Amino acid sequence: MTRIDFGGTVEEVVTRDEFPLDKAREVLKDETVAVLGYGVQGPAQSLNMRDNGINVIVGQWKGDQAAWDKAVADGWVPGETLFDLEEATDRGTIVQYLVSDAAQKLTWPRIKPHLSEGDALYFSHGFSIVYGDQTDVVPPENVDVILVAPKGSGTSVRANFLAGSGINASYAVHQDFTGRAEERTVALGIAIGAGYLFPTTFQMEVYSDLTGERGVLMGALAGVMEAQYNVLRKHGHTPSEAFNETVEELTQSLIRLVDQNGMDWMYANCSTTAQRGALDWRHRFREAVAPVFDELYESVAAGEQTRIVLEANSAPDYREKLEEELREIRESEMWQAGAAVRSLRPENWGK
Amino acid sequence: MWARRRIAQLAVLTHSPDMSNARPFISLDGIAIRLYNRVLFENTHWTFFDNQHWAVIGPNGSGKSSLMKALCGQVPVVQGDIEYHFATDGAKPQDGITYVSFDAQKTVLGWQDRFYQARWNSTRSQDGVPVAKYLSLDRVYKVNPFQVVDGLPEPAAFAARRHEVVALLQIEPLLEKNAIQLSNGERRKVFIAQALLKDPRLLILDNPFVGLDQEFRARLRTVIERLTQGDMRVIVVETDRDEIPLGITHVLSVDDCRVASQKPVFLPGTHDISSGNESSPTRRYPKAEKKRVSQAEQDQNPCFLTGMHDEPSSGETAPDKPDPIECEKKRVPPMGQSLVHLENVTVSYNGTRVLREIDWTIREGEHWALIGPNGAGKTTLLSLITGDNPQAYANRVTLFGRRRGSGESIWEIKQRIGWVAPELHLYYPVSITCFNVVCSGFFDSVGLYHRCTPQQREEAQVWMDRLGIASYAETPFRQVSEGQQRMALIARALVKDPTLLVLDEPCQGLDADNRARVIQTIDSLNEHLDASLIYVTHETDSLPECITRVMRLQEGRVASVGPVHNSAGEDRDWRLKQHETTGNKPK
Repeated sequence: MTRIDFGGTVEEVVTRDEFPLDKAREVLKDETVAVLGYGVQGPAQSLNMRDNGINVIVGQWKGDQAAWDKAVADGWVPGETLFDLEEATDRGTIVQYLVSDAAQKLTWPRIKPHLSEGDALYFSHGFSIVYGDQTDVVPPENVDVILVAPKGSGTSVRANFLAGSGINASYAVHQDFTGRAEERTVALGIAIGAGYLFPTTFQMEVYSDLTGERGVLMGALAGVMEAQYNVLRKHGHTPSEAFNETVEELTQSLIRLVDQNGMDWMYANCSTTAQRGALDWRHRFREAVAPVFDELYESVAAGEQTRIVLEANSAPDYREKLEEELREIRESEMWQAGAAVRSLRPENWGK
Repeated sequence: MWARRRIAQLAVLTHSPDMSNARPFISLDGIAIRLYNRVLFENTHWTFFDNQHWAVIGPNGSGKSSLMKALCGQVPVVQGDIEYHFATDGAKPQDGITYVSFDAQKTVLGWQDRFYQARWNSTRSQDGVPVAKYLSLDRVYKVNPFQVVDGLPEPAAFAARRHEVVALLQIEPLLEKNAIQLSNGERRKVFIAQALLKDPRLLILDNPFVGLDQEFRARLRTVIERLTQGDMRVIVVETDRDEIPLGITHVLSVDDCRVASQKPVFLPGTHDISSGNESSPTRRYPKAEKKRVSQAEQDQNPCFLTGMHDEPSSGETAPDKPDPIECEKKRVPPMGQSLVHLENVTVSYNGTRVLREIDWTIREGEHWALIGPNGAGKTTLLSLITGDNPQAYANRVTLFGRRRGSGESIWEIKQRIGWVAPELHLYYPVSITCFNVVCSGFFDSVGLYHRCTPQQREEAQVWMDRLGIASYAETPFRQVSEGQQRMALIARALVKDPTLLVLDEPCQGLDADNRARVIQTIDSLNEHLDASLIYVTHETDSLPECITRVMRLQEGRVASVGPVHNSAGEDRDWRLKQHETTGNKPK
């Protein structure tokens, strides 16, 4: 473990220098890793592990022909390394349960009977376990229950691996039946291509994840932007001006400065007019949204967000409704203006 | 329309332009351009008359592409003026210019953020745009889909023109493909087609022939020649004079970011030109650096560009190649261990088999040429060897004595292979320094994510020195020319002293000096280190001397495989040409 001081709190992380690939391969040498679900994380994690020399098979429901074909195009051979979910679970000693949260609830009754004593049940999201009272995903006591959550989409997990870099991931052990659970978890994290891993718990992973995406990462981001855009439009600003001042300048310039050197550095590199105003208004905004974030966290912790997700995602017209909601955003004036603004970026001009 | 126009008599081209009737087309009046922090081409004067077509010739890094970008308005002019005499009121003159280059492919395809290997993964291979879309009216004319454009061609007229261009370039089979799945040569064809569809006032083709198979080169030469007889003006940018196509009337020589000379193309004996033997579209000027063309032969050859004699031919400054017969004596007999063993290998995408039933064994010490027309499957075949193609796991592929899928990691495979390819170049991130690009070869990474040991840094330095690129070690990759970038990627392939060198079109875009340097390096590597080699090229007349075996693919199948007769260099050359052109005769 490498000890790192994060702003005064010392945390431990595992880097691939201290836990190299060779060690991961040694730990996993007698294991068969069955990756269930060839959706988004499934392909990335299974391909990376196989390319790292780990013994991997894939389990995929044959009814989804597109996913099955995708697996075949990636060199998984039906009957040798590609099976249905149940058979893959049977054959695996580590079962990576990477179907969607909603599908986990649906398929669990079929998976559970195929787990053997000493297997490890692996998740990339703590959702099903933490909200077990709602998902009914309650693992047997004679298996390890572990988690590695890459901090990026499946696409980046694969692309970063291939480029020779890596992605950060958190890891957790929920149930250690074999006594090897932690070792297995970290080895799997390295095998899927993590650059470094930091420990968490299933519950912390889910709560932070659900809060983050509902908050700053996605929900609050869109809401705050829309509010500002609307104010500017209400006062007669053109769509291009309103969009530039709300989104474009952030994504094209300021957030990149934050990315490189932090918020203070971005502030320090703006005009004094911008600095003064931002320094004052940041407190106003924090105070204004703090109650909303409190409410959000409570809702997450109470399982209310989970109830909403499971209910919505299991509705038969889920996809249609989702498409309708996304269409509303896409076709709004603000995001149409955004598409035009993007097309004018120098790198897109002339495409 | 230009394509329907009757081909003028070739003899017409040989008339010197009648300056009295010619009007200026573009003039550069004492300009200088800025590239990053440098000012180049100071006080450049150049008048391009409307009855002329130019070749812009210069070595790698001489600034030729930057000068062209300045014409297109992509690089700022900081002194003087560029005047576009063809411009009509209201129109931005640069919109009348279309520039086709490797660099532009990067931008247009927007692939910088996609890693080359992703192409072989199912999730990414479905991304991207169908080729047909690149050749649609919207894509060709509306540079920006949100731009309100007046005066677009009638859809029917555009469709007719498109039909014509597609037929002319014979790219019909590519239209249904996804752009990300195109091979290097196929991509170039699509971009040339897109440029032709736009029917610009000035077409600039930057290194248009590299990466193209012989058949398509010949076709492109004919196309360029026809274009020069129409309303379009043409600039061809090349590193070598011997690539200048017919129809080009003038040569602008560029060296060290200055204009060195401006001259008409002078073809001695032009009165012979219509006498019959010159009508073949495959006719090429002899390679300047090719030693076997004697001066006597050159003198007899009516199309040798003697007008260039006042400057040394690039061949004279190139390092000497080892004698082919010497090379033969030193060669280790092909009795080594099997490094690569492919058995009945088939690769399919969406039901299309891009490789079929390939058997191939490469043994230690063997030096192979892998050849075949564009789209034959060469790069796909290599992706199975370099550990990049996941379908290797579904095939019988044995690398370095170990069957794929038996618990090996791709990093162990990559560690033993030095690899360079146009795709690597296309995807390589541009922000790091050339030195770090070279160092990334130690880790087989795209970008550098590890700290190098002092010894590794030293070795990287040695390779940069050896390849003559040390002077821009600390320059960011994006700030050096395409040819210089390619040299850095070649050094990246060589730094780790690989067991197997996989060089996919390594000399693409290199000038004669750099080409000779690369080829000589490969030859000497093989003498000293006995690394095995797979060398992919369409330039079968400038292969490393030590190539002893040829694998030729055609439409995903093995068309021929085996040793090259190599008792004498001439024999070998002849045999290779047969390999390249059999079943693929230029029309």
